[in-house]
Amino acid sequence: MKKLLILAIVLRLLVAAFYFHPDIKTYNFQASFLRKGVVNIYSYLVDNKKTLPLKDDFVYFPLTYFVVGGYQIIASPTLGPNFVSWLANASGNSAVRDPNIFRYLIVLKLPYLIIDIGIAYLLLRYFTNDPEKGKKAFIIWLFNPFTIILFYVFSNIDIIPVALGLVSLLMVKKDRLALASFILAVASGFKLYPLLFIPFLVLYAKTVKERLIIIGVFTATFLVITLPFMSGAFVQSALVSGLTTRIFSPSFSLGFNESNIFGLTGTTALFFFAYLIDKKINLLFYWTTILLIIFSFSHFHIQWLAWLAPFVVILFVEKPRLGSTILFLAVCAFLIPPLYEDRFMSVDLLRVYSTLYDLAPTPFTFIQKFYDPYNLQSIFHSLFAGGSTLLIYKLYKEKV
Amino acid sequence: MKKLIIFTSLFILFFVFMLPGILALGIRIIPGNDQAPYDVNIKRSIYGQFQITQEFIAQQNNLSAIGISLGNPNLKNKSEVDLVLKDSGRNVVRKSNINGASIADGALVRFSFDPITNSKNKSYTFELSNGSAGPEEVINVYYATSNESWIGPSTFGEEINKNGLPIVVYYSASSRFGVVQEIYSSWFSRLLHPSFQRSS
Repeated sequence: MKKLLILAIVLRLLVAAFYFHPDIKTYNFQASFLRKGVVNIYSYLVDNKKTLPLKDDFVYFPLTYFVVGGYQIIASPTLGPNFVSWLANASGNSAVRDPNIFRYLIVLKLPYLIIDIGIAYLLLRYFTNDPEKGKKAFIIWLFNPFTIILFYVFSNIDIIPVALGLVSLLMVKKDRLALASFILAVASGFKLYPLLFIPFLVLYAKTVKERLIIIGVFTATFLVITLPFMSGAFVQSALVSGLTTRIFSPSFSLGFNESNIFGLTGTTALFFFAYLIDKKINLLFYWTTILLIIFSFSHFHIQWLAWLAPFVVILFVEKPRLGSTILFLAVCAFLIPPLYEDRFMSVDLLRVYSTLYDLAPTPFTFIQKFYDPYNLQSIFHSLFAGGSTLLIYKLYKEKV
Repeated sequence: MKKLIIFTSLFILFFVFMLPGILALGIRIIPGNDQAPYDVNIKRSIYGQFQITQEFIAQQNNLSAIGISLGNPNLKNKSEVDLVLKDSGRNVVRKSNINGASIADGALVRFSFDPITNSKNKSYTFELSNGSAGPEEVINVYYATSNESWIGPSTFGEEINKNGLPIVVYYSASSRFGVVQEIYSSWFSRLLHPSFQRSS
């Protein structure tokens, strides 16, 4: 086990040091203002946009700011004196050519590594009653290329709510629903998506009292985290940002400017299925299903796929017969984002090796020579949606 | 599980050490220089009869593209932006154009053309125009804030700017494997202590 862990860490460090997505620099630049005493980053960025070298809004929820900023304060002795100027460097070329960039990337991604290993142990604990399954989940988590790419190539800060989502599922297993609700609220303080899990947690509770406690704990915790920041800047940057609202944007027109939103329709159907039909709710299935529905009907960020990762590993272990379907879905989902026109979904991730990759063709431009890349994206997305439908059917068929 | 461990370990090694080389095979042109700094507030608008002219001396053979940072305010411009390249005798040697619809505001836009094989140390001038655009759909060009010895002055109407435009000049790569080699050697050198690294 120890040797496996060392190998897993080495593999992660290799990717962490050499692959660079600019998001990590952007949100670390924004979080660096914590050191200067800035508490409300949302209004600070809006008020100082003209003078700041990087103009992006802070799209995450408040806890991300405090955790990333707090870590920077702790890690500052290892980052060196030039780190802050590197963060503020708006020049794409000199930032990636900085001789210290490998150190910056490793130090900034170190918390991901710790949480990542932590998730592996949480999975081991999830299967306390069956150590064999636990060991299998532990190894699948550590040795699948998908999560390594998600967390260390795309510098995915979502690993924090992902880990908290798994902790919450463990609390559900121990029948500590109020604590599970509290943890989901804390996770939503990093990124909003765990909010989607709450309706199913409420339905999972057996008594009205329990349900009211879950709602109360979640609402109170979430408000404590977000209310101090409630302002036009927060609403625009994080609450109704393009990223947050994109989840429920694809729709078809009903005429007269009215639409039917696919993701919301599917989510509602799932909710009423749980409420009216399912007598024994399995939260793992519901939390997986709701994400599958959303990804099937939205133009998702590759980072979002991490939300599914621990749940999928558990399913993989618990239902080995679904393994090939899950693998098929994972491959389809991973093939879609590199086909976006965004260069940082493919070749420009290698800019730390050389800025010459700015001149390399992206998968989009390469495929464009002989086929419509948008159509190819649509094909993969349809395959993913179709496969997800079948997976969802198989999950619930055995239950009802 | 053993197979998974081996597969993922090999995959990551491939991903870190081999994939960069494979993707580098797609690089056909290489930049001859870093872009000079420029100030987005020092700009001139080209449209209709207003065009800008820039002189430069090619540093290598196989001149094949010129990159210019262009502004397309509110992405209004959707007309053809033309680049005409002339040699020292004012003969047109290459032409290239890009539609404004594909120019993002502030992007470094590359005008590509067939390589000029014996371009090294020769003087060229290009004219950048946007003839069919009106004053409401201008394309902005920015002046460099410092002067590069091989970039001559630029001319906008009667106005001459000695710093010129912050252009990037591209040349066809002599061989694909040369590019791969260049990338790996630059990467390995960067793994050394900063004081031993190659300057780029």
